[in-house]
Amino acid sequence: MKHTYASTAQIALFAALTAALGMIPKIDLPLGVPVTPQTLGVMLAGCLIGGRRAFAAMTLFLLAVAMGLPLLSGGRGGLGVFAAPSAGYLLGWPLGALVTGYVLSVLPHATPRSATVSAAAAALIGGLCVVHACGVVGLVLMAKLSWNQALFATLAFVPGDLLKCVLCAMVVRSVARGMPHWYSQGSKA
Amino acid sequence: MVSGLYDPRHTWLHAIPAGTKLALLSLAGTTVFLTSSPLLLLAVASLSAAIYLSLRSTTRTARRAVLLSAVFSSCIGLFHLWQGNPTVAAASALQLFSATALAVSFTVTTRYDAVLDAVNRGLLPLRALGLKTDRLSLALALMLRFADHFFVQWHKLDESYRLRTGRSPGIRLMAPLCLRMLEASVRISDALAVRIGDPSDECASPRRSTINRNER
Repeated sequence: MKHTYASTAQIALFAALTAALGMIPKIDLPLGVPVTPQTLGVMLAGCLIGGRRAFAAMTLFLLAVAMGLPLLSGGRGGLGVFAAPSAGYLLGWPLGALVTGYVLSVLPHATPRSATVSAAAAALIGGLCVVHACGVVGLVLMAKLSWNQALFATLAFVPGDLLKCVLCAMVVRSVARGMPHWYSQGSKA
Repeated sequence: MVSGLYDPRHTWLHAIPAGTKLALLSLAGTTVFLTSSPLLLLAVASLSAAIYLSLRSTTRTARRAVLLSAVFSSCIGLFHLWQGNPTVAAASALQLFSATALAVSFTVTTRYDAVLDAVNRGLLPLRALGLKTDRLSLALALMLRFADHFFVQWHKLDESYRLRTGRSPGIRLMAPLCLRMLEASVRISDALAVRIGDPSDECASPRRSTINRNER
């Protein structure tokens, strides 16, 4: 029973963290794709609560956005954001979080050092590659760009997201040091 | 508390049930993205614009979203025009504009709890597959409650850091915030188990049975 509530609490809290990160102002680049710190929430959820819960947390967050709550950067919300060119990136968040969590689970993460390196790799694969892949598909489908044009457009966000991967790894290191039991039992409590 | 984009001032679209609006919106959205005929898309875009404009001042909270959508749609249209594809330019710009105008019209005229009810009804068949759909409302409520809680936590940490160092903390707060959040998740799961736990599980949780006795 407690396991189920722990799961619900973690899912809700990481969805809330993603909403809180939306308070930091976004930067709009051409083609309507904003640079937002909220993708850090995707990476952190995958690294800290595991792939399946992170997937559920991001799905919950997007559901709240779809219901009309202005939780995205810049106070955006409602179904309209899923009709924008950046919809692919948004819909890629649950998948990105799932892959981040899965990659971290198969990499060594028993010590703070190994957890840091593995978290950086997991965030890079799930939070960056997977989310951007979904974003490119979105740009092709919604904005009718060619694959090459969409790939070129998404490259503009890679440096910012690489920094987020580093930041995510630093947070994971702090958690591994401050709550050493978390990766052995806490995340699965 | 996070407030939504819903506007309570009554319009004709408020009177349509959320489930019906959601179904019509899904149908319209799919149709818009499946067709590429500029004439048909122009008709749909005109209809979408008419619906949006008929709502008058209720769309005030979402005007920025529609304006941004119009700007981005125009940019994408101009980009395709520059590439020598006038048909694609018209189709993509009209598709994006129509979908956004319809979605915004839905959002500003439909209450958050009505959408939740519609989603819960839509998910009912999944209960047969073992999905606990009743947890959805609980998780949403917790999320909204803790989004506010984290803003407060962030401000407290920010003030403490500024008082100690005289500088802005920037992203340094992310690690302590996450640590507090993980600790909070343990406390919240305990509290949930105590407050709404399964009575048949009482023997397995002596703390809950003690609290239940005290509450009685």
